[in-house]
Amino acid sequence: MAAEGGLFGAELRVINAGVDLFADALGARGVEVSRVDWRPPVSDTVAALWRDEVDAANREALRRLGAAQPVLVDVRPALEVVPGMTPTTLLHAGPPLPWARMSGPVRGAVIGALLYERLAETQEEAERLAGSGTLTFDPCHHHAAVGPMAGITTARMPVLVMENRAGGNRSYSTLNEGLGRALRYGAFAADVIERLRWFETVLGPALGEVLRRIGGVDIRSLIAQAVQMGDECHNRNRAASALLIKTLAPHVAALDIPAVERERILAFAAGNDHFFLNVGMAACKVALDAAHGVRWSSLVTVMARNGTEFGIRVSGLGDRWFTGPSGTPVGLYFAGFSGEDANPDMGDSAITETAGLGAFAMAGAPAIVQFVGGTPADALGYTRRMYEITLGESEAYRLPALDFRGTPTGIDVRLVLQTGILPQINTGIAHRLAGIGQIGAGLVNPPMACFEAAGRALAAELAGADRGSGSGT
Amino acid sequence: MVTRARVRPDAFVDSVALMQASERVRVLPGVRAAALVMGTELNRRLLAEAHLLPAEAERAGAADLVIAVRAESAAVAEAALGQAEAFLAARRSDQGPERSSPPRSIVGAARRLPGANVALVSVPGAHATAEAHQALSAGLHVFLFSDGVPLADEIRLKRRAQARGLLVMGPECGTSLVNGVGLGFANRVRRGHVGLVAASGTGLQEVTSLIHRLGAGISQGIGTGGRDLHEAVGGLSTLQALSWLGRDPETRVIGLVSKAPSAAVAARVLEVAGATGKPVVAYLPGFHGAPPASVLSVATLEAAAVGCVRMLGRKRPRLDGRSGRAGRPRTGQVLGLFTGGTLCDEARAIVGDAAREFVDFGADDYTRGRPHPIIDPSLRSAAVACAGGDRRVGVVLVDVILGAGAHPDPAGPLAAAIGEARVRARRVHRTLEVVAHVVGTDEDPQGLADQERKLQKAGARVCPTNRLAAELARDLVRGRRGR
Repeated sequence: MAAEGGLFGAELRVINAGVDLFADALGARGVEVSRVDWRPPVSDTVAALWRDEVDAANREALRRLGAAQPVLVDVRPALEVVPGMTPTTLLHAGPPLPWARMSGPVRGAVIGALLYERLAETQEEAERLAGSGTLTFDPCHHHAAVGPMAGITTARMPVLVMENRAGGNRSYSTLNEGLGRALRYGAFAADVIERLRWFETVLGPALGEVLRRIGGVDIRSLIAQAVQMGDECHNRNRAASALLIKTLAPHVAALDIPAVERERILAFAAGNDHFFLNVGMAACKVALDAAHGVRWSSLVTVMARNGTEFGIRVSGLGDRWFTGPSGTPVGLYFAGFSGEDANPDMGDSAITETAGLGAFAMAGAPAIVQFVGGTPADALGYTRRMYEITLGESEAYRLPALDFRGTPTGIDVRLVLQTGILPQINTGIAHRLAGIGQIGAGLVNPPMACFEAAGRALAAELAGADRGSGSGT
Repeated sequence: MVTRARVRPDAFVDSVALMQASERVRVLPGVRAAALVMGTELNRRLLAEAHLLPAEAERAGAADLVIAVRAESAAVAEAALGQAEAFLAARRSDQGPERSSPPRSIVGAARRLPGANVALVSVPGAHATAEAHQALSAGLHVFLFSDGVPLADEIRLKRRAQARGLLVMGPECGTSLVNGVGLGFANRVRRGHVGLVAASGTGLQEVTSLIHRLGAGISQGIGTGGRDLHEAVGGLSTLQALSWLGRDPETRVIGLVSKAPSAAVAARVLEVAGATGKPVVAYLPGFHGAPPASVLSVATLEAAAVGCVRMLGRKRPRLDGRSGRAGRPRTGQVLGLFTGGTLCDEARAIVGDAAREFVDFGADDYTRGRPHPIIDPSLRSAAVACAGGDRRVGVVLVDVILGAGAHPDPAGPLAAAIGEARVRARRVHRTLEVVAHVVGTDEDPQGLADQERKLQKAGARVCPTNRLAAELARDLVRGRRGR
């Protein structure tokens, strides 16, 4: 492009940030002006982040995110496939968290997992073991995995294997247990453990067999359909679950296992509106992992909560977590519960928002907005606001209500700091005591401190590189 | 404490609507707990655990809606049940306002305006660097009006822009005329074939307005910010704009205007300007080096305008306007009260030792936390009024700047201030002379002739150029006869 071709002789189209008077004068002359509703940035650090290196890195990270082709290829025991897994490792949701700081539901899930793995026989024994220092607690995200709510994942649990056909990387997630009493909410009663054993012996192997036979399921196109059927694939997975079950059912029916088990598999899947949740999360994770590790990129690749802290990771900032206290969602509670019963926000499921689904796709799932007393117009508003902090728009996931515009995708730390707009997250609300389960659903935001810390870290890296190369001024 | 419930058989309501209604009932005065649920086995168990399942609801089925309330009295409970039914019956508006809130960042705004090419940034100085860098990231040229941007930031911005083929006009850039459209403060001038680059906002306004008044027009007028020709900045934006003008077919003559430049940078800029092959007229105050052959170096803004028009081939460009004769010398010296920095500098140099004091109300010290005096000239007006009582002042010299973005009637309040100053002077048996120059054109919204007339009626002598105004002020004090 000839440099002056961009300005001289072109029709002037102006962005105005600041004094309205100047925009008025241009408007009066018929010049198209877009006015920024400007306010001071959250952090002055942001001035150091608007750089060509970051722009280029973000283009690459966004390209990888958009190019990812998640395919559900298998279900295998975690010990076989999850990198770094050991018989005494417990993966959990969110940023790193020692036993001593775990909230009620996460502790409950740890106890349940230890009983399930037969590492402990009783609750007391499990608690002793958990505090003994002999177990390894580690975030799912350190192992290319994601888990909803407590996110506890152990060696014998069957996990979904998601493959990115574009990048070759894989991600993992447990099978969804359904609503009510579930390990992910910290329940560890006998029925919960019994269901996990059935996952291990029947459901997991059966789904694995089906997926291997059919060569995998293209999850990207499945999500694309579901988004046009009213799902945002975080709090609403009805359409996606139905689509997945529809795809798998004939092959489950053809499995060489007792009819009673085939029936139980199909009944379980059909009875769980969140059957797809973990699948969608793994698909988001595999795409975001592909976008992670682009030097200088300010694209957010992880948003996750452990019930105590909220943490984010950023493509260009390696393995570091940037954390702040977990908030409490604002929403509606099931009969008999209130905000006092709520545990601070938890789960890796905000990976959906990180990938441009969940609250970011709320315009396609107006039913969800009722959780905060909103209207379908509010649902459009939530999605529209997220375009202000994202680098791009999804090619695959398109919203009918916004003229099939792609969902806002790829959170830019810079835009969060510049605008003060925090990512919106749809979430389930867990009871703060172990084992009671989901008590409501609503909306939550990450703490701004995560983004401020990430911004400072990236600015420091850039400044360090300037000093190293002597190119700073 | 009483618990009451109603059961509505076969009344399906979706669960979220029920949760919303529950929430609204729960916060009614006197209500301790409330639940609206379908009567499934699970829900009935939950209600029982929450002590919300009176006998009348125990036999509800999965298709029945249960409304249960625990309240401080039976009356409150019954009223709450009625309210709950009303909440469910109420039709919710589906006409949510189509909220299309404005963009919150330059990146967001650019995304919504396809083909956006310029960001006009006038946010407070402390935040201006971030906005300008953001605009560059969005691929936009930047017109940076804000002042208070550190020099190091300016250099970094301009280097980055240059590498991307983008132009940073500013910081502290008052005006540009791009493709005939004014950015910031700009006068309405006709399009033509003089291309200007100016590290001076009001300098550019004076030259473009005079060129218009001389009958010629402007192809492009690019402001680059008052520090562009400083040693440290090295003329980054000026050099870039010069190379564009050199290749611009509409531009036949190039005019170069700056506040006092660094000698080395000025030499470099003149060399590049000369190499465009187009005739160049340069006003670089304080620079005394030898320009290349194709460059005409001039000493005043007026001469720059006249020179540019002459280079276009016009024979004798003339400006209309009477300045009057100076006559016998006045007592006191010249007080310059300016809204334009370059005009102030030029006039101060002309007035020389006849100057009492020259004040640029557009300087940082006067604009911190308040609008530029071109928008709000009230501080300057107050200073004019005060000058009437100062016996050391014989002549007040002022500028008035018209155009888009400027005060809608700057001569109005100034004329009032002049009137007051003259009254004050008369009280102490003195005559105060006021000399004024109005920067603008007949096409400006304020109207040049109209504004000049207002000042003349107030008793000011109005000159058609800043140079003539300064010379008249000087001559009034020295007693030399006007030309």
